[in-house]
Amino acid sequence: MPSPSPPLGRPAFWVHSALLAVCSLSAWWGVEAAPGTDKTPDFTRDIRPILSHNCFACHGPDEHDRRGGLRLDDRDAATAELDSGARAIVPGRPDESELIARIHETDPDTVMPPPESNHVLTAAHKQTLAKWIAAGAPYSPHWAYVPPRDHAPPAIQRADWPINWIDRFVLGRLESEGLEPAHDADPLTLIRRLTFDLTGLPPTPAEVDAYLADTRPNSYMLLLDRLLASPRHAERLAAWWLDLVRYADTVGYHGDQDHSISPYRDWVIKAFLDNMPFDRFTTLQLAGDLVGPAGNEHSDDPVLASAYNRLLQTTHEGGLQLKEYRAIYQADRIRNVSGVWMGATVGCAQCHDHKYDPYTAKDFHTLGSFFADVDDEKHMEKGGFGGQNLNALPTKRDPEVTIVGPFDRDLASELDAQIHSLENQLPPLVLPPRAQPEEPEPESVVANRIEFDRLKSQRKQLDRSLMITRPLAKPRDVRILPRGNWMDETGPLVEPAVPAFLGSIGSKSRPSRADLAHWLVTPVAAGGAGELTARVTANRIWALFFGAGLCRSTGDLGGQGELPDHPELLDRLALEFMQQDWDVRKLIRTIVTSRTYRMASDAPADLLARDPDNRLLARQGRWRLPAEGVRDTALFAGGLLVEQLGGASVHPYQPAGYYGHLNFPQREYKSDTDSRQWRRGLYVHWQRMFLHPQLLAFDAPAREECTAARMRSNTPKAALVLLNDPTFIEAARTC
Amino acid sequence: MHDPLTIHRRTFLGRSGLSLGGAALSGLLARDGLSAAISQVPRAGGASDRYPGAVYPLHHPPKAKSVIFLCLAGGPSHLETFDFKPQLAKLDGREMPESVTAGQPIAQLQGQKLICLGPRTSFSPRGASGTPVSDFFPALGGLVDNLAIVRSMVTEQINHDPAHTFMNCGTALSGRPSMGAWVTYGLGSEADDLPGFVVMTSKMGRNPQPIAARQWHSGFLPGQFQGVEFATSGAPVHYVRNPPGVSTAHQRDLIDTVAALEHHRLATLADPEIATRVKQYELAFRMQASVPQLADLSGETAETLALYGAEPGKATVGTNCLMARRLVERGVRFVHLYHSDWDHHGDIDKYMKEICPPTDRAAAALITDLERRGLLDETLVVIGGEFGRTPMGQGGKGAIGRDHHIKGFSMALAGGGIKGGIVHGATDDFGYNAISDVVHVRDLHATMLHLLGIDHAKFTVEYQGLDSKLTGVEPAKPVKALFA
Amino acid sequence: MLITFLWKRVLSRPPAAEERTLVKGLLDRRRTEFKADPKAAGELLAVGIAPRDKTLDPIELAAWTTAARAVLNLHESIARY
Repeated sequence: MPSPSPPLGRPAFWVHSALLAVCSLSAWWGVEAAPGTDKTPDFTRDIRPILSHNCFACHGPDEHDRRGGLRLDDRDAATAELDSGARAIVPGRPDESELIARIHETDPDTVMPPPESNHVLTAAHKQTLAKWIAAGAPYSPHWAYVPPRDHAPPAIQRADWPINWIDRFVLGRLESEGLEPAHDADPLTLIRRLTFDLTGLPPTPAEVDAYLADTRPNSYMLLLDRLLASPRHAERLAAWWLDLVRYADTVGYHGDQDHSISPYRDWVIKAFLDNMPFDRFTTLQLAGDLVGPAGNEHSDDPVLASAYNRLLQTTHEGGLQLKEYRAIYQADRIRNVSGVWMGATVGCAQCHDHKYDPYTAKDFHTLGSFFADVDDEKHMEKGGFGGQNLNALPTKRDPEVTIVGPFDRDLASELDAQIHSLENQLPPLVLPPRAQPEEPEPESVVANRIEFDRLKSQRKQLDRSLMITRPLAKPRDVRILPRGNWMDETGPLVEPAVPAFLGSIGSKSRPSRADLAHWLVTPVAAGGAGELTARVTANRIWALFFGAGLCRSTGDLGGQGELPDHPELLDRLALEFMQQDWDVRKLIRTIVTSRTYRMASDAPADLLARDPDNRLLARQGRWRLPAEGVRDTALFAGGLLVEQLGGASVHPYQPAGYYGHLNFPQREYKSDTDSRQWRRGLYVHWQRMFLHPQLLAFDAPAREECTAARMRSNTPKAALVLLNDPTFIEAARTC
Repeated sequence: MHDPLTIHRRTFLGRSGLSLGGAALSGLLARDGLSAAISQVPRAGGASDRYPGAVYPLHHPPKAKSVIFLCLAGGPSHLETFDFKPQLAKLDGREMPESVTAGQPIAQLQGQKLICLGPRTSFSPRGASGTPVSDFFPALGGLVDNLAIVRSMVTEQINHDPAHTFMNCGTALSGRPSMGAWVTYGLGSEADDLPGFVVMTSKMGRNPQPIAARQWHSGFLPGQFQGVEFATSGAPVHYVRNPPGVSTAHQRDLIDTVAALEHHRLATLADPEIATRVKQYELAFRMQASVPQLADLSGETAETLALYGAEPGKATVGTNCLMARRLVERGVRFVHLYHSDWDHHGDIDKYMKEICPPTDRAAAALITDLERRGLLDETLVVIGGEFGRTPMGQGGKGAIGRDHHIKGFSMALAGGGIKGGIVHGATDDFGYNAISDVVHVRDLHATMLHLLGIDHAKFTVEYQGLDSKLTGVEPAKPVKALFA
Repeated sequence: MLITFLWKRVLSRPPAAEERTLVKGLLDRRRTEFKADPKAAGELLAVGIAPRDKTLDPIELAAWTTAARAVLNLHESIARY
């Protein structure tokens, strides 16, 4: 198969403008410039949030809804003469700037923002804007579109505190705020924390005792290396990834039938177990079918991985209109690929240019066009009435293949070999002519036949169905749908392309999903967006170990997301991640090695008052385990947990009648009656419409969309689960 | 010290000023102790520690305190219920003019000849207002002077699953809160030991369309605003029954011991999440008692049971309507009833004859019973489906029915600030397009919120950078003509 | 001994004296209850498909099940600090 390494084309505007932004990037942290101080407001930190929140909806990137011809997200436009003859911003002259006049207006017909917007500028906002214009109204590009830079850690006083470079950034910040880092967590808390974070399970009492007794100076490093290499760690990371890519066992719409996808889940676990570099991990999922296996990858790996493109919600509801669902499927894929790899809400550009980020409706459709070759419409033929076995469990979602999961391969080959060898020993089975008495076969042959049948049946159990990505020879046409309306076919046809402001793929022929993947993980200097992808991902990996990202809005690094609390540390993490060959385990190792990670999580009242969200990182975080961890911990404590990697999804006890609303077909939930009952939450059958109530009560998402951060609620429903769910009673009686 | 209680409740989620993305919202909730805040904010002037709602004070004086939404799931025909079309009767069997249907979305009739189908039942003028209501709905017809009938509803989704999502969430996009979650988030609940948003379902024996839990999901709002499903048979709420062999005294002892252990822990570790959990356990225990009490209909008179056609222990529309009254009586904010099997593509005559009588009886009983108990004034009752049905017949192999239709259909409202005895809006002579006083789903949402004291335009939560509203980004307005 | 085992198994730490007292109280009260109502103990022990160790006294096992439920319901058991 052709390997894609096209010459990447035009570099993005932000490569040129990056320098512009550098000065402002280093200045954010620290408290917001207080109004009344002489400090010049910083565009990224002080101005853009005000404009974005209050003005961009009508004076932003979306040209269709733009009022009065005014655009405030772009300096040239904002300072230009308007149709009215006025200029919104006259750099250096707040008194001549229409913007300043209008925000101070008292007439409800002319004041900005208008009363019906429900946005109100405070006196401080107004003062900040005026001060910024007086200083020349300097703009800088949004931080997340500026490639990360290699910042030197700040100077610090307590030179003996840091263990690695992460700590230098954190301590530098704390010292500048006049804060001290928390004391180190005690060893017991530490081993429990590290074991939960890396494996999703608590340590055993023996592991705790051994660690507490271990006097070797590197005992912590030995512990973490042991945990990082464990299959449980791969399972923990897989659960995180499955939220992002919206992995579920059912189609999600209408009849919510099961679909055949679980081998993909196992591939994800295997990829983390093998510490597959994140760039390859990306390419195989988006385009495994196009690039094929590399190195020592199994020939099935690209097939398993590229099932990613089939994870979306699908339907065969009778009376569906193909073109409508073609548009819905495309939008689903766009939201996911942009959410997972770009930390962006490109989905907002489905009907109109994005209100806050430079994504246009055209970008939306060109991005969707990459997926126009994914063959997945058979189940929608004849308004959903065309296919066979669609109302079966599992339903059919052609194209599908029969495949062996990555953890069953050795067993499958062994069985194949045994079957083959027996087959050669057995005499051919000749059916005797009718009415002629059958000559009994020798006993050894009979025994071999029985063994042969047993092996065949055992081997057959390893075969699983999987929806796959098979490229169409001729991709579907993709048109820009005006205002997202699938019935309007007047829009122009588009070819695949990355969002225009981020550059372009310089391929001569039609760019493919492989090109998109390549662009996502290629360094900026080589024409890709690799550092940006690295920043999105590193931020989320950090969140696994601190409870929140360095940029809090892990799902949206765009203009309406939050500013990072530690931008330089985040930049450095992203660069390390990319430059160290996208080595996920190495990144995690660096994070959990830091002294920052090892701090105590206690929050003294004064610190809680000063920094309630723990943005400054003067302590570690503390939080409730994810839903799967709650289940796994109870099973583990009860000695029930059955640890096996991969396999078909499992069915824990569930309240009777919970699936009563499902139809086509109606179904009765059957909980497993063997050891599958006690497998980890990661493997629980993920019914999108009716997620298992234990998972739901502890905030596991239905996986209809990309979930970058789960909520952590604390409700009576959760209490009822722990009190009365049979799984927890059973664990208690075996404890 | 930082006290979560000091966060002003109106700005609790959509904290003013700088942007808070969707993830930031969840981050905010996840932060130490803050998920606690939602259950700890004290009521204005009250001793209860119940969550009072994000809209405080209300935007204007409310007319209704609670909502009962009886969803006739599957899409009931407006042409056989509330929208009398004598002209369509005359056109029966004739081809539908292409000028009406050209370029319109069509579900199962795609590519088929479109033939008019006249009303399949008779209509009679009812009440002092003389409003014609179909003879399928005699009891509701008898209450027509209590009803505001909207004949000009429109929606945007033509298949069941997305149409329900649209009706409930104001958008067909996944991950958005349903109206019950919005209302409970906005107003809190008056019930101390029951969830604020309850969902109950019933269905007829045919082959009803599935209904997804997405329809009562809290979307990007915290999980506590998610609708809680009550079942009429078996355990009324998941895990609300003690485990086998565990008595109530035993369970009480366990919860008290857990609370004592938690307090011991709190003395050494100031983690507000622990304090919140103790409260949640107490509430859970109270629910274990109050939910079965609520579900026990033995205190209702035979007359009441007969009025509704309620059958204790059976999930019928009658039982559920009676339960809805019991729920709002106890302060539950939003009760969403789904009564399925209105998807009459074929043999509409037969299936309407089966489903209408119990529905008519139960819905009318609900209004009558609420009224005689003085609850109707403060309870908004909404009756209708996710869309209507085509004026064109759908033939196929069996007897005739009607396809999905979204360009004009009917709903009935009563109680809580609704003007009775009126008809609002109209469809064309075919019953196809809503042509006057069109009421979009968004307008219905705005109307409902208005009656509850909420201005839909000001009721926002920041999600993905946008001020998200139940009514979405397109214009919406409360239908003032419906107000008493 | 067993209380310590339970604590270490679920919370990775030994119980404090007061915690031990609280759980002992719960155990004693539940023992009394299950002695008076062995059927209840049998029902509790029949939850789930995991086999039950028939060599153990069902009254004791049911009482300890309740003790284990108490620990599994603590915030600490599902929190990461």
